[in-house]
Amino acid sequence: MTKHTCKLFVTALAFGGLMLAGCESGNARRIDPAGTQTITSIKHLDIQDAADAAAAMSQSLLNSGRLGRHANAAGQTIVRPSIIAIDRYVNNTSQQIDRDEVLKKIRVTLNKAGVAQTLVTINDQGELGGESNIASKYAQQNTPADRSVQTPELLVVDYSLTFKIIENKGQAGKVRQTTFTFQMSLVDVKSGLAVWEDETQITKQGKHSSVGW
Amino acid sequence: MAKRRIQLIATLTLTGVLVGAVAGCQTVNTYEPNDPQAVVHTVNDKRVETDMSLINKAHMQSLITAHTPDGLLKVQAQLFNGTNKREKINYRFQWVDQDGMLIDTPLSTWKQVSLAGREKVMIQATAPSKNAVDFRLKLLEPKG
Repeated sequence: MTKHTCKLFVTALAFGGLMLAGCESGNARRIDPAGTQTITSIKHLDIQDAADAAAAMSQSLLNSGRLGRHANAAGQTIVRPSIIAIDRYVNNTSQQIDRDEVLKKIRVTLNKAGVAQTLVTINDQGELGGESNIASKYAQQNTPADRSVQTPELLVVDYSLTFKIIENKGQAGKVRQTTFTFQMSLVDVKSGLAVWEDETQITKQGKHSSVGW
Repeated sequence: MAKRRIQLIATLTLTGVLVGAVAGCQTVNTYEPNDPQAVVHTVNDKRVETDMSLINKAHMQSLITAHTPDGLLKVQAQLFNGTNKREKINYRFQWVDQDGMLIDTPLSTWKQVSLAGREKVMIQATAPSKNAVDFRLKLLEPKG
């Protein structure tokens, strides 16, 4: 191989390498969080995983037709947003996952669809003191200690929403696999019946994390 | 001697490529009723196809719509992988209201579906609001 041919070969290799890299640089840049340029890791719950789980659960809830329709005292069906309280959240994974990574997206979707509203004055123990301090304080001040009279909000809770995440890991040689299972139940608080339940799974497999998918 | 070595390397490489190609092939056999009982509402679609290689990997065969008990629009698209190997496809549904405005919703994210060779797959979505009267389905080939 002559010196000239060798130079040509190296230049072509370098050019090809640049083409393959797709002109990607290591500099920080903003990307669309709902797009396909996000990082896919094997062990962790990525933002697209949370979005996928929330979308699957929201669609299942919307398809069920359970929300937004209720029977009044006369037995007639009335159309109004269902009042939901967020119940127990169980995270059976090896990592800390904020429940709202998934739950908030479901709440937003149901709220925008006009089929459900979330009561924020009670906590996951069913006690006064939810995520809204001011509304919780108002509810406390207007509810006698013996609860003989309750604020209207406390009377109209239709459903509670329970949520659980489970993690399952596997490995074959250098290939690792993680499955996140999301389980959700909508419970009629008056009857105690789970009127809607669903489960969705996200499985990721590979040796290394990757950028884009 | 050198010529025989080159021939041997070429033969081994070709065999490797052929074995790899055959191993990469995985097609699915599908069975379904000859006379389906479902009454479907098929949508006449308008296509803007810019990625020709994607058409064979995920050919959009039909679009049907229905409504949930609450009146929300549901869409189902049937995709067909015309190749003999497994392909992954990214897809996204977007929703449009009666004024032609795009509806902003957490449901409109890119999702991924995997199709075995020669497999038909249904992808579904439910509108996030009763205001949604139209939709748009986008298909995108995943990154290498």
